[in-house]
Amino acid sequence: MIRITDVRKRYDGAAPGEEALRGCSLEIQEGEFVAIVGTSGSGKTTLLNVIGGLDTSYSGTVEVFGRTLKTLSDGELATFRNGQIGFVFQHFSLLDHLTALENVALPFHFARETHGIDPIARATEALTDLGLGAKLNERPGNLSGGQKQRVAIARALFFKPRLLLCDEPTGSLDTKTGEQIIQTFEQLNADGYTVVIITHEARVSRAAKRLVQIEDGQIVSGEAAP
Amino acid sequence: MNFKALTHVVAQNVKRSKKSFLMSGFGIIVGISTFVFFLGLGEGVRNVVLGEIFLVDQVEVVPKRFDTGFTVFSGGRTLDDTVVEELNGIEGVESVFPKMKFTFPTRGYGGKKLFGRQIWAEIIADGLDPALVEKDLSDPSVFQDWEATQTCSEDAACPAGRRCTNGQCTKMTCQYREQTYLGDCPGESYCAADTKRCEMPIPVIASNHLLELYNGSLATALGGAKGGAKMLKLSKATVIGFQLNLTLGKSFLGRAAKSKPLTRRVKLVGFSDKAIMVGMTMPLAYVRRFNQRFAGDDAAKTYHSIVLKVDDQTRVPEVVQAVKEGGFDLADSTENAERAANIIRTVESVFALISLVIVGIAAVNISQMFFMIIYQRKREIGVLRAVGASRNDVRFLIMGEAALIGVVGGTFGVLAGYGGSRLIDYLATHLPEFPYKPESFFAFPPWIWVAGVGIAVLFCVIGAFFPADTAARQDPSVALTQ
Repeated sequence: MIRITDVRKRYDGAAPGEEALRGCSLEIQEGEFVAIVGTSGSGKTTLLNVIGGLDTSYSGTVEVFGRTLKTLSDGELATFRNGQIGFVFQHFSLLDHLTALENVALPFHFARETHGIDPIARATEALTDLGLGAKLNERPGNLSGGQKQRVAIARALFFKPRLLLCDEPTGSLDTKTGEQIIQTFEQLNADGYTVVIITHEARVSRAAKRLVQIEDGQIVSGEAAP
Repeated sequence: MNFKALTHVVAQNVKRSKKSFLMSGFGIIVGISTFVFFLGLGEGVRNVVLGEIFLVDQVEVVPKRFDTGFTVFSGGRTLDDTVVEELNGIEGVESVFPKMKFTFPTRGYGGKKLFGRQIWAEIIADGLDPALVEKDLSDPSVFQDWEATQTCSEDAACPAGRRCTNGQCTKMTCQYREQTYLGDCPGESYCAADTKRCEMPIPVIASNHLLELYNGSLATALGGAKGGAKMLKLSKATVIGFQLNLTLGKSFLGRAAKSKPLTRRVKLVGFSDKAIMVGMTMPLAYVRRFNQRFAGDDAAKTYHSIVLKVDDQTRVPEVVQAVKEGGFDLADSTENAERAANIIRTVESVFALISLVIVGIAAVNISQMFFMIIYQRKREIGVLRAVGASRNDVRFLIMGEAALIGVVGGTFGVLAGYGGSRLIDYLATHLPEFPYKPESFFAFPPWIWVAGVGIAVLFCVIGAFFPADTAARQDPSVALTQ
C-alpha cells in the first residue's frame, strides 16, 4: 500500500508561499491502476517523484509498501527503487549508446542482490513479451517512438517491481501507438502490477480504474482508495 | 554496485566518448612519459655514479684530518684493532674491514704480452680483508694469503710449488736463473730470488675505475705515443691472469726502504670497486707482513682506513654521525658519495616535479572534461538514479572512467618514456667512448613502472573527484526534467 500524508514541497528559488505540493494526502492500494490528472504545472510529476523516492526534500510522510521513504538512506532508497519501483518517462529516457537489450538490463548493474538472475535472458524475455524480440540489438536511434517506449517499459519491468510509475507515457506518441501502450499498461495491471500514471490525456485516464485530480499542488478528488 | 558491473558500465561509457578520453589521455601520456623518462635517467645515473664511482652502502673512516689553510695533515686517533672493535659496535654497522697501504716504496715491471713492451711503473698498493670483496670475484678462493699455513693429506691438496710434508704444505726449493728471472717451479709458481723457493704469485685485484680510465683515456694516449695507432681496449676477461713483477722496497723516485728489497710476482685475479682507485689491492696479511719488514711493527698494526659496511643504505647518515662523534673523519670517497647522492637526488626531484606539474595540468584538463561530460549526461544520470543507482554508484562510475583513462594513459606513458630511453641509448652508441660510459643511461626498476601507472590513476581520479561528487549530488528529479 502507498500512503501519502500531508506532503508539502517547495522548490529552491520559488517565491514564499509558492508550493508545488500543498498538503497532499493520498492512498493507493496494491494492484490498483490509478491515473493522476491535472493541468501542466499542477504538481503531478512532483507527486510522482515523491512517491518514487526520487525527491526526498519535502515535508510530510510518504510510505510505500510499509517503508517510510524519508527514513531510508540514499543507498537503501536506491535499492528500493531498483527492486520495487519501475519508472516509465514521457521521453523514454533510454541511453542512446546502449542496445535495447543493454538498456533493459541496466537495473541489473545497480542491484545489491541479483538472486542468480541472468540479465541477458531476463532482458530478452521482457523485450520478447512486449513484441520486440527482433529488436534486441538495435540502438534507440533505430527504433520508432512506440518501440522505444516498450523498451522503457521492459526496463521498468526488469526486476518485476510491485509498482510502475509512469510520467506521461503516451505524451510523445501518436494516437495509435499511444493506444497500444495504454493496452500494455492495462495488461500489466491485470497481471498484478500496481500502475500509477500521470497524464493529462483523457484516453489514458479512461483506462485507469481510479482518477486522482490535482490542482495547484492540491489533490481535489480521488484521494481515498476504494 | 559490484566491481564487475562497475567495469562493465565504465567500459560502455568510455567506448562512446573515445574522442574526449583520447584527448585527455594524451596529456597524461605526455606527463607520465616525461616522469618515467627522468626517473629512469635518474636511476641509471645513480647506478653508475653511486654503484660504480662512489659507493653509498659503505662508509670509509680515516683518522681525523686538520686543515690549517695551507695544508691538511692527519692527526687524531690511530686506526688500530681497538678502533676496529669500537667501530664494529656502532648500530647499523654490519661488518668492518680495515685497509692498510704499503708504507714503503715499490716499483713494478712487466706487461709485454699485454702492451707489446715492458712497462715500468711506481706501484701503489694496499691490502684488505678478502671477505670484503668475495661477492665481487667469480672465484673468491684465488684471492687468499698463500703464505698462511695450509694443512694437507697429499701433495695434490697443496698449491703449485708446494709439497705435503707432515700434514702441512711446504714450499719446494728451486734453482733461480738470474738471466731469465725464472726457475724450475711447477704450475704457476715461480722461483723467488731471495728464498730460492717456489712461491705462488700474490693475488691482487684492481678497481673497475682503473680499467675505465685505461679504456676511456689511457688507451688513446698510449696509442698516440706509438704513432697514432690506437691501442686495444681491454676487457676484464683479457686482463685477468695478467702478471707483474714487483720490487718491494725500491723506487724510481730515488727513495728506498732500509731493508733489503724483495722481488715478488703478483697476479690479477679480479676487479672490485673496493680495490684502491689507482694501484693494486692484495689480501691484508701480505701488506701487514711487508709493512713489518720494511717499516716496522707500528706500520704493521696501523690501518689507513676502515670500511664500515652498513646493513641498510638509509642508515648511512646515522653511522656517519656516530663516526664523526667518535673523533674520526670520512674518506674523500665517502664524502663525495654523499655529495653525489645529494646532487642526483636534487636533480631527480626537480625533473620529477616538472613531470608531475605536466600530469597535474592534465588532471585539471580531465576535471574540466568530466564537468562537461556530466553536464551533457545530466538526464542520463537521473535515469541511472531512477533505475537504482545510489549517489556512490554515480561517484564510482565517474571516477572509474577517470581511473581507466589513468590506467590506459599511464601504461602508454610508461611505454613512451621507456621507448624514449631506448632511443637515447641508441643515439648514445654513436657518442665517443668516455670513462664510465654505461651500456644504458637508464634503469627501470619495477617501482618506476608501478609509480608511472599509479600516479596517472591517482591524478585522474583526483581530477574527476569534484565532477563525480557534483554528479552524485545532482537531484535526480531535477535531472530527469532536463
